[in-house]
Amino acid sequence: MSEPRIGEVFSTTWKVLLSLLLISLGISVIFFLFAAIGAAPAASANTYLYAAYVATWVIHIAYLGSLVRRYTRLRKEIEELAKK
Amino acid sequence: MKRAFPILAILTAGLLSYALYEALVAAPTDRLQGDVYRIIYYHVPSAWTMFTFFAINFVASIVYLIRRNLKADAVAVAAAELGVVFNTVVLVTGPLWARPVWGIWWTWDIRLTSTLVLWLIYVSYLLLRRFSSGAQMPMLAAALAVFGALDMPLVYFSIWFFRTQHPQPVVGGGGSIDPRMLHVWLLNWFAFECFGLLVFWSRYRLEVLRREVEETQALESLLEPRSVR
Repeated sequence: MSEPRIGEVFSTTWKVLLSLLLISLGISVIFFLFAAIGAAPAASANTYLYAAYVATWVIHIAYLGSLVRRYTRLRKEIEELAKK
Repeated sequence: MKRAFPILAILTAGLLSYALYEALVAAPTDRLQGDVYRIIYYHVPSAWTMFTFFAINFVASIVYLIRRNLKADAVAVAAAELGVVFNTVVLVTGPLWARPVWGIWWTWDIRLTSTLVLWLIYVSYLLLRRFSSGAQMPMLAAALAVFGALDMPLVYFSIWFFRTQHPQPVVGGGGSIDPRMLHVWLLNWFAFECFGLLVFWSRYRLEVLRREVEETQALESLLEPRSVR
């Protein structure tokens, strides 16, 4: 027997509350991150330039990775359907 | 499109590499900011590409609300995801540019705050789509997207109508920019639009495929003989 998915476990009200909680947690993490980085000693200007370029590609590659993962999962589901 | 996709992907990769070279090497150094100003070549094109995808999401949501067109709904989801990705890039590269130039990472002025609010609106939109089910969900999401899009003009025009820490627009806003810098800027914008549209197409195809699989699974479960308790 397969385990129930998150969408089947929680009601819509709980999902909305959970979403709000996650957003609040995200904002708190961002605040703490800014506070922590703000306390660090200043780096050279070029460090910020390279950090911005690297961060841009890290974000895009992470998203592309999530797309590949979703395609792989979907392909497995299609194969299972084809077996039936 | 399926056959042209690999060719377009290679061309876009080449374009992005060339745009990166132009941004880091060929573009002249700014007299006041030095090399750190080169963040503009990623920060501003990402913001414009973000607007493109949120605008696509807005139009697709309206089409869905009027016609209940499922393809428009799939376009809206794909565009919202891409918009959030580019919005994240804007929110990350912005503070990295602000720190050496303004001396601060963040300030709660209207341009920055409204951009953060825009991100939160579309993240909420994606969370709603991810964790809700039922026939009403696409309609609720489309309504949220239409209201969320009202923040876009506020983000764009905030620096025209309010006194902000953020600089005034140098393109179309009465400012001036070195033609060589403008060339590199437009090149990077074009490259990011091409990259974004390719990823958007993949995400749209994924969404259509996912819906087809879900429909087939639902049909399968209806056709399966039920066990007697």
